[in-house]
Amino acid sequence: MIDDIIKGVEDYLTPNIPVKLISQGAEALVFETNVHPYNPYTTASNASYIIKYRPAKKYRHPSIDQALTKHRTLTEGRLLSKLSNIPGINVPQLICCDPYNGYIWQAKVGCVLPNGTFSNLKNYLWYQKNIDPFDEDKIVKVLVSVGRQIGILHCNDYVHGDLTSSNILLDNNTSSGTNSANEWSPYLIDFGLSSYSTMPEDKGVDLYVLERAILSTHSLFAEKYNQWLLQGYKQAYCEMSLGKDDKERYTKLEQVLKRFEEVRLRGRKRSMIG
Amino acid sequence: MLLVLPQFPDYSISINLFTNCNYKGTTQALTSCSVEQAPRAFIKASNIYSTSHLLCAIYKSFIEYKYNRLRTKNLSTEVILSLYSSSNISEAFKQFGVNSDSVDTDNIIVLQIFNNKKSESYDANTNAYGIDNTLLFEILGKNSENLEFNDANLIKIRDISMIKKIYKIKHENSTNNDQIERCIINSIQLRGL
Ligand SMILES: Nc1ncnc2c1ncn2[C@@H]1O[C@H](COP(=O)(O)OP(=O)(O)OP(=O)(O)O)[C@@H](O)[C@H]1O
Ligand SMILES: [Mg+2]
Repeated sequence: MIDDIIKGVEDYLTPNIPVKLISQGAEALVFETNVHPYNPYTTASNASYIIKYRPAKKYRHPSIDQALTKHRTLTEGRLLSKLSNIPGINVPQLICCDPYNGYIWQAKVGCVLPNGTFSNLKNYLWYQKNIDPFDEDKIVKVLVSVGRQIGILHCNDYVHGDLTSSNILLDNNTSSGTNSANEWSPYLIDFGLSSYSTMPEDKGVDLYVLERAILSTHSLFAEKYNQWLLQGYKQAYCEMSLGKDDKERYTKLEQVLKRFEEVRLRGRKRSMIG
Repeated sequence: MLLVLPQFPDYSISINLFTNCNYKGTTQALTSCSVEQAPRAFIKASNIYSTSHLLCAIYKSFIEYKYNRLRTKNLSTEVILSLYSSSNISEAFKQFGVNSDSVDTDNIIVLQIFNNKKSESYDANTNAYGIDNTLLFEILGKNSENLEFNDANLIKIRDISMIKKIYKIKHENSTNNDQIERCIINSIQLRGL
């Protein structure tokens, strides 16, 4: 089954684009390659590109399936485009897309951590906690900056829709200007379920999903971690409100936090009923 | 330059950058210097920001050609539509194409896309079909000079303020070159979808 899908991808890309499968998620297969799809000048030996492929789902009606695949691929492409124009938000660069077949190419972000795992937020927290359990400074810094990313996203009325700790990647590239070595920049990825929304409810759900993700993988420290995330989140709201409409922005933050609390309560009730 | 996109190995793409053109084309001349198996497209080079800009539009044209449909005559002309930020074909040709009234166009890119299997008569030395190169130079002007299609040469001739206008790139997004190119690629890849 999976072999057939991979074979299909290889046929589509031709032998000129050798790929390595790096993730097999609920919705998509993610591959890596060092061949640029159209600009041979940028094909350096260490360059790497991400190809995300949404295969057809056999249990869906073919025409519905195709429409949905196209929709998700385009949603992801549009979000990568829109968000790249918002100062302060980091997303991978869109390279190209083929919504007819469910392919989207983007720049690769992140790196391999010294313990051999990939630098998404989830792995990073494990790694950092294990090498130096008493040095929380680095973790604080990372989580506050992640919180800020989400804050800026929400301030601009975009919601992620699947905000787990593996959909947040940490990149330590030094080329992006102000970044000194050893500093992590958080990047948001995986926008197939994202949307434009002014509703506090949607933002509350984003925050809740992330909180649950942290809770389930880092339960011992979850409370602290979530506090730092929220600290960055609030910071972003305050910074964005500088200058104009102070009051309005502040109430917006309050509204989201109130919803977040409600979503949390609903979640707890649901899990009690089980 | 002669190029093959890795995903579409059956096609060759010839891209030639000419400067110092004294353009004298009529629609008729333009048509007759295109051979059927390898139609030519004439593109205003000053509106091309970088190699990635043009190549990304070529890639998009291939995707439309192979998996959807062409909206113009052929793959070469489709690139002109792909370059534009909206699906208005006549606007696209006005902004990026070179037509009979483009007398002030100094810098022109001549693009040809052809199927390797069908094109035995291709002459790799001139990067264009031998049969009508004379006509090509008549159109481009005797003093026109063939430069290599690369970023260094494009930087010399590009009209950044025009490009920003075409792609509606706002001031805050034009602080660095990477960001401008990124905006262009985003709008080409998502246009019309
Ligand atoms: N731009 C990128 N740079 C580096 N790695 C990436 C990139 N995009 C995706 N990945 C890797 O692939 C994994 C899956 O990607 P993504 O979350 O976009 O797909 P998905 O199928 O929706 O995943 P899931 O269903 O598991 O949430 C990521 O967790 C990450 O490890
Ligand atoms: Mg994911």
